[in-house]
Amino acid sequence: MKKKVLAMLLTGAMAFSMLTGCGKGSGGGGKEQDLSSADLKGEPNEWGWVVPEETLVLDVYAGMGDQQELEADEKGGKAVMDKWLLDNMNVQINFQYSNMEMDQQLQLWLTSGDYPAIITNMTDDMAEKFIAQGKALDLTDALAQYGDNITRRYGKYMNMMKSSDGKVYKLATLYGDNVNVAGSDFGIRYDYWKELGEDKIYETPEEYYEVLKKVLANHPTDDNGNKTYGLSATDKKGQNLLNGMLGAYGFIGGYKYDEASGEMTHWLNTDEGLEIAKFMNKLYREEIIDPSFLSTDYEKLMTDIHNGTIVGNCDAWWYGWTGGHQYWATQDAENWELEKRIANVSVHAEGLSMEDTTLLTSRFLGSYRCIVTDKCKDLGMVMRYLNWENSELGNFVIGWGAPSADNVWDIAKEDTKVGNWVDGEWVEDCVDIKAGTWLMKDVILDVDRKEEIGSYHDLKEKNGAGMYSIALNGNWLYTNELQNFDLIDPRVSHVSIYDYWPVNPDTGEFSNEGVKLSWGFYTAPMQDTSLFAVTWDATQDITTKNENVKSKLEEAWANMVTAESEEACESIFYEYRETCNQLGLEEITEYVKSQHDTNAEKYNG
Amino acid sequence: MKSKEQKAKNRKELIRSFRTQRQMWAISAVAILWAIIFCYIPMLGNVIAFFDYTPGQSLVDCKFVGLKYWIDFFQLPDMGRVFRNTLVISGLSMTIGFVAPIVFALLLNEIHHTLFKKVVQTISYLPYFISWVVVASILFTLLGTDGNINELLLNMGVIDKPIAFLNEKNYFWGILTTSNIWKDVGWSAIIYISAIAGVDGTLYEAGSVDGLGRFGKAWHITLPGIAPTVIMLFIMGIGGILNAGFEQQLLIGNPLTQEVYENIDTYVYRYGMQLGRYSFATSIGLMKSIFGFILVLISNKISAKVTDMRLF
Repeated sequence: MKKKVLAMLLTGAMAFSMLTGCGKGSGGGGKEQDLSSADLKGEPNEWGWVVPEETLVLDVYAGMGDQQELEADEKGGKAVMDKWLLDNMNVQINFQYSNMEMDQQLQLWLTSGDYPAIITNMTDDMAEKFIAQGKALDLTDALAQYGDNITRRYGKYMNMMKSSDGKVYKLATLYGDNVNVAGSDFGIRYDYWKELGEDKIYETPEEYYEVLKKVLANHPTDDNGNKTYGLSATDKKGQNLLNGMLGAYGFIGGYKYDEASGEMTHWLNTDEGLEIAKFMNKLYREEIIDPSFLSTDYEKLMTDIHNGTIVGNCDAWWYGWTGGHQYWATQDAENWELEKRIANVSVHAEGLSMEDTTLLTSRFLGSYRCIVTDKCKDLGMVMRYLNWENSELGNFVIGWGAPSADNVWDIAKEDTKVGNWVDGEWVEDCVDIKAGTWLMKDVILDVDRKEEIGSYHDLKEKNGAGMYSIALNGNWLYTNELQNFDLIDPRVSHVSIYDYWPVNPDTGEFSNEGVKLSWGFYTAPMQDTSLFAVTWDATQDITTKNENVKSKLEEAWANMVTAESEEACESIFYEYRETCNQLGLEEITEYVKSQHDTNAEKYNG
Repeated sequence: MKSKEQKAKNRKELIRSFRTQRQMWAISAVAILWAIIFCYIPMLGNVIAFFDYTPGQSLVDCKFVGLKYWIDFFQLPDMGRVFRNTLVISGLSMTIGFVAPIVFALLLNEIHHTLFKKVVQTISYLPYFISWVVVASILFTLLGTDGNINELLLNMGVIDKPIAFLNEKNYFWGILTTSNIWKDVGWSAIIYISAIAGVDGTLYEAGSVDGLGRFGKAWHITLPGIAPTVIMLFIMGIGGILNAGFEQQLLIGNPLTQEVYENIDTYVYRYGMQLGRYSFATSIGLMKSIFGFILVLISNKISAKVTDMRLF
């Protein structure tokens, strides 16, 4: 009897400790915050920041990463940025990475209630979990008082960040416009295409197929004597081949959107979907697609491209760029010639104009979020800092590192003249620069040498570039009605926190001949697909249905592409259409449409 | 009444052992504590299998859903195929994969050159320490359409076109089982090698006198000598019949072989872990454990009846 009572007591005690242990945390998300400490007196300094008397300490969790590497700071960039922030801003940022996958880490922290004041780079779904449990602070008032740069640069997109109660609990990180350079492409080895002597570049998938056939006939084997192919995959699933084609046919996220009726149709339920499947199946049967594409990942594709085994690219533009001339120019410079590169080419489906393609899409709010948690003691000052980070200068300093003669950029002290590349030649003193311009180092204007040691990325890293990006614009930093980046060196354009492209300031053309060849044939316009963002709540049945269908679609696509004949491909297409519809594809389509409609409603305020 | 006396006797024996074997208990205390903290207390977490649990929320605030996730699981598409694949993959591992290390240990026992034996044994352990990611890369290099095996077959004129081994459903189970055996055979053989070392040497001498050859000794002396170990490991292994694994399947598999590799573990990984549905993942894990435990009990009972050997 005694033992039974003891067992009952023990069980009860354990269950109680579990029940109560789960719910730690103050749940202060909805509480009104005292922002008075951020009401600083004094003038902003040259960086646009009113320096606080006490050092502002920001504890930030930034996802999965190597904390030891950050602490070791082998390149010294952390030390440089820490010093700059302390000297110029009186700010200390403590970035924290975990060696655990970010979602798992956050779930654990949610359970233990042991998370830092700021969390960034999290998915929207995960941010919503923190918000739902009252663990993300309401930023609305702080934004109104101290977030003018943020609200200005978000424009109407700020409406989309609002919760159903009209309040803002999260910010976007790496948001912004992806202004037309290139997206998905139908690339080709430029030197091989040029050999064909064709007057103009291909514009449709069918023309691309003809060109690939000719190129492969001229180059049946690579440098090592292996058979060559036109295309391969990067994800062991061949989804890149599908996505490229869907872009050429104007699908958004796999759906055809009819603006007039507001209707959406999944590609598997359209005639175009069948056309796409048959097209890729034809390429597979004719050995234009590498038969091992379902075992090919990024590394293998890169090797295959630089070995010349794969001569085309149906994926994001940079696969061809990185695997192609960037490798040859740096690893085999002696044998490399300017025209040996994968040219990025946009194509459109028959009967569709290039303007209707969705090869190059951009979602202004991106995919990642930043929240300020209920562990934060001083929301006002945190918002002040995030607002500075989102000023044009703050964005550039955080993205490109502390400006100095040692970095790739510095602020021009006086009016001056600088050189530039013109028609492949370096011309001295041909560009006028005004004092205050964010001046680039000459060496980084030579695109083909930008990756050398002591050049672009190396110097940026040594100066803490991107070290402490919390909630800033990660896309193109250009002047429009929301922002002003006129101070950026006129010799570069398409500047983001990661990259830039040298141009001739007079003509606006790329100043590097190679870049012209790479992107000269890419004319697909950027399509803003922000309203098509979909949030999948793991607790909803629709998410499980979507997972069912997603997996079935991957299976369907692989089977369609590898079908033995066109008839077999068609039969597989219809078979999977039926299966997927039975699994709830139409219901999922309705859900995606409802998300789009909600986004549109929010966006329009 | 008798059982009460028995219990009292057991209790006394336990208390006496605390007194007489206190050094042993002291040594074991850390391990026992570890097992309680890390193996038994976490079992309480299984309670989330019956709640609509969200990390960070108190269970009091979570909705009790009973067996909802078990029902959800059985309502997922292609469950027939998932169970078939689970049983086939585990079955192959429980049969061929189980026998392989025994055979390997027996063969190794027949090598009398000590240095050679040690070298073979050491080499056989190595693949166990290679991660599945690396094994998958080796398989791609060997079996890809541009891999070594295709190259060999093409050069020998056996085939005119490369065979996409890794895209072919018919080869998948074979490739998976073979790679599993290659990876684990040496490591799994260790326990049998040590069991063989424990077989009384005089039995072999008696066998020789009775005219047994090497095969006869292995069959009539070594195998019966290690039978308790084999049976114990088999009974323990049968509890894992629903654990077909997910790592190797996801690394080696692709959408064309999905039909033959999707199993309970890959489903739990996709629908539970990747979607962050921890209650779902826990409930399936619990279901597998209960099923495995029942199987262990049954096989233990059968073994006790048939072979007179039991695990507990």
